[in-house]
Amino acid sequence: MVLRMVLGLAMTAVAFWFAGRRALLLVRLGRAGQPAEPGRTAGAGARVRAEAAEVLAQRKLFTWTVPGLAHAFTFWGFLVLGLTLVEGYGALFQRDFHIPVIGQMPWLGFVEDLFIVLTFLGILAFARIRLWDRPATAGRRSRFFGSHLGPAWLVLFMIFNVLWSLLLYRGAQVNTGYFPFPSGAFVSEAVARVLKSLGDTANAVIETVGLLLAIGIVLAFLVLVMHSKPLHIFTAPFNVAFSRRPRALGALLPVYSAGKPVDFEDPGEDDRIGRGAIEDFTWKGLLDFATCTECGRCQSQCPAWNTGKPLSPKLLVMSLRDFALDRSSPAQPLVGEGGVIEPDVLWSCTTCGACVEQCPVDIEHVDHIVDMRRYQVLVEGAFPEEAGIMLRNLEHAGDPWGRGTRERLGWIENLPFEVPVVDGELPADVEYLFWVGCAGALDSRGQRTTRAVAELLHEAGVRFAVHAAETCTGDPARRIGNEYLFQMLAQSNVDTLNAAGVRKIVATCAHCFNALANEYPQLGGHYEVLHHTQLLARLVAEGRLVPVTPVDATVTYHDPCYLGRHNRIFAPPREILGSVPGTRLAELPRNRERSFCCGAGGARMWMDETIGTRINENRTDEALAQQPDLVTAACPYCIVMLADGVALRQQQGHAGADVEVTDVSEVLLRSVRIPASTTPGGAP
Amino acid sequence: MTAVLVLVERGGPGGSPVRKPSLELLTIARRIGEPAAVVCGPIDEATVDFLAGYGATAVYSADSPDLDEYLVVPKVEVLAEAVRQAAPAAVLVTSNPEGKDVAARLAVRLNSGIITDATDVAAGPDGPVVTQSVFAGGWTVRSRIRRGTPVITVRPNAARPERVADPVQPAVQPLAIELSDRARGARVVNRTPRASTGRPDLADAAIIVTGGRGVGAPEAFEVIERLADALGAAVGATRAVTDLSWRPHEMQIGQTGKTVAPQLYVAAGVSGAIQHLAGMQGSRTIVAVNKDPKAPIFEYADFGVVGDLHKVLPALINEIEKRKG
Repeated sequence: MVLRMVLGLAMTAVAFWFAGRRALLLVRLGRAGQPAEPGRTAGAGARVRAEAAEVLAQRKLFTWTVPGLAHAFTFWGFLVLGLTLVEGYGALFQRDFHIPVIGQMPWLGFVEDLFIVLTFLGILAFARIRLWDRPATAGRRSRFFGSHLGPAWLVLFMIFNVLWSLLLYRGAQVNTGYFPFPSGAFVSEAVARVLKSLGDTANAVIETVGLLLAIGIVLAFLVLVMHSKPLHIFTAPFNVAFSRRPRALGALLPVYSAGKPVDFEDPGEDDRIGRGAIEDFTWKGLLDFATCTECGRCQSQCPAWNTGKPLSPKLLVMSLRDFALDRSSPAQPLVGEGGVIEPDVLWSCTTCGACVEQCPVDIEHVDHIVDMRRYQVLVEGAFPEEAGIMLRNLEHAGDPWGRGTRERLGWIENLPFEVPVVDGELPADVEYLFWVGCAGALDSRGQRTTRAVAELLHEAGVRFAVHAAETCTGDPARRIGNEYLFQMLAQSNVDTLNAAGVRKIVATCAHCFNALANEYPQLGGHYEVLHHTQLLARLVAEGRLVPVTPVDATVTYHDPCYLGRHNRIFAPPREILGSVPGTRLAELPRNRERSFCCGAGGARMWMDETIGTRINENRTDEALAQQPDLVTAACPYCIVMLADGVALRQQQGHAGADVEVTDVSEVLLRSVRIPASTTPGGAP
Repeated sequence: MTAVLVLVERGGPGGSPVRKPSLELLTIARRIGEPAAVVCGPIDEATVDFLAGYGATAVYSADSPDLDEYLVVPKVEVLAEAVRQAAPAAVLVTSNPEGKDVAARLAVRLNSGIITDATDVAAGPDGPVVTQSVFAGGWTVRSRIRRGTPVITVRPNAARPERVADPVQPAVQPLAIELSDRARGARVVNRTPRASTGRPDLADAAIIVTGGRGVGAPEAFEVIERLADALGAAVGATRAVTDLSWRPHEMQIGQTGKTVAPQLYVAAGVSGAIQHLAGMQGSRTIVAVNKDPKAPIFEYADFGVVGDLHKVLPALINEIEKRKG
């Protein structure tokens, strides 16, 4: 007994020394980061609920059923088997130790044994998944491509060792009579029956050796955990607790330096703009990197990765973590040719948020990417040069194409009714400001949508007006990293809207919508913002718009990232399509939260796409596979990209000449119109 | 009359000793004074005569071996010296990246006002009146420089080069230039001649013929090139065409390609997506040929033909050849 106590405690001391040293190093590294922006602890209730849902209930893991179950078994197994650890350490001191109160109840013995089995099934499933989806054979398609494979297998092997050593100990304990549970522990009892024949002395030895073995393996596992991917066991609960709630999507954060927002009118001498070095990340950023489990769910959904581009959110986070841990080449630039992050990686991101959506531990990939872009654009002036035209046009003309303010009202011509254009205060009887957006005002397809929405609002008797001084919301500038230009445009728009006394806004562009609803509050612009699909769906539900004319068509709907994933508006566009008689909605395989980007977000619209295949073609092919008559979306960016894709496939003879790309509102308009009175096709 | 200095760029396409925008500047300079060409590098008599043909009444020639070895600043010092000697009414420089760089630095050295991207320059009672087109051509601004010797950069195609009826024999004034240390800041280490297509450059072509997706196939693009050659035009392409690799990226006109502003822009099989419009909206006259009468290009075109470009363009080429005789 004394021997096993001394040995057990000695092993523990050694393991704690190694693990503790590592923990101190990690904490020191984390503290080298900048202070995080305020609000990381605000809303304790939501954070507790997030812990319950995402950690205890494994919500995000269960979005993938089989790996989710396997992980949940393992995770819950760890919690339950924590009790056996208590029992084991107790047994070092007192051979017949049991947990007070419940420690001898058969159900506990049963639950413990059950989770030994479930955890075993969990790691079997993991092994199977890893054998099935091997980078060696599947290449880039494997979500484990680029992950550290050796340590992952080692972890599974160590968990397996924990399980068998525990059972060996428990079985022998049953035979020696020191087992806490009279019944219920069905697996331990089965092992006991096998060991029984070895005799009492042997069982007594096996009990002690098994106990020390089990504790030793757990301790070795602890040291391993501190040095590799299962570190998330300790970091994930914190990472979830301090994550952006409800999710790190929608608004981008303003530029913070040392935990304070940077005033772009008069930036401080020492302000750090964006992330140009690893120390520029906040401690939360570094915690993100430390928490990555290399599971590759992000990578599997990333539009850039899936079209052969060098960006994988997982590999990006892993590179940053490895760089933070190993500073043997401190001169290596964070971003640049030969840097930690290659420029092509940084500029491939469409900010679609599929990675953030997937990440089971709430890593905020998009924020980190945009923060690094901010440094590149604002400090280094290094970004894809073709995007410079867009930025210059935004500065000079207020729209990305350089058309200028005077062209913005062209869409109103030839409408059969008056659209009030205000250049001051909004009249009292006007309910909504219709935010047209640059594409809606200037792009020919966007104009069609704008006119369709205007006609529908007019038809429903909604009083709306447009503002003459509208300019770009600044979304493309913000997402390419030019925060200065975003602040300029956004502040000017906020001033305009506030001076006009605007309270409710309806927007057709998902990007405008996101900026107005989620980002303008940062600049003092607080409005009730609706996307046109929300307002139109409501008008249909209220009977103010009545779709009567059948539109006999198979329709696909593409969830725009900034409407769906970023803002959770999934139902209204589908309700609109569902309300139109004759339409058959063919859902795309990748829909709602898992929608695949059109390729235009993150200012990618204004850059050339020269690496790999084209994102819009990938998505177009998915839509065309449904044999649609109408390919619909609810964002002018998506419409441009999908229309490009369809035109290309039509040219190549892979798509019927009749396939049309159109906004959901135009489908509704066709149905609301009385057939004889209008031209077919919905085009005014 | 006072002199108007024109910074001359050497070596135009087709063996011309001087690039076309410089000839435009000489033409414009005649409106406000006596054009005086400022030439960097060695100059022969043929070039002097050529410049005289476009109205140069004086030629300032700076010929120092290391002039060409450094970027931008040597030209600034040459111009500054020429200004000192000639006391001109204005200095005209072509509005391209290097020209604007030179002009800005010159204005600082002279403590003068500067106007960039002029689309026109006219004489005025108190000095040259400069026209700019701003906000994507939505507004026209006329302004005058009040301080020092006006330095003006003029966009290519702002005027048509015109020869003078009776050229005078210009006096060639050598400029002795001793480059300062500042001028030796950035040295040229390598030069690669631009691959010549035998056609004008997109950047300063007076006429551009562009083909879009509607051309149908890479081989069919040849009809665009034939029309361009008949017109002496440069050839452009839309993003769809370069994305399909029918033609190289260098030919792309539009948001992520080149921005052009020719006198005449012929768009064939181009739908007129706004990304394309962004690159050619400054064109003076736009002609569109497209099958689809609803194509947005017709909203911006001055002349439009609804029809199959493979029928329209050959007919057009025939007619041009016929009239050229």
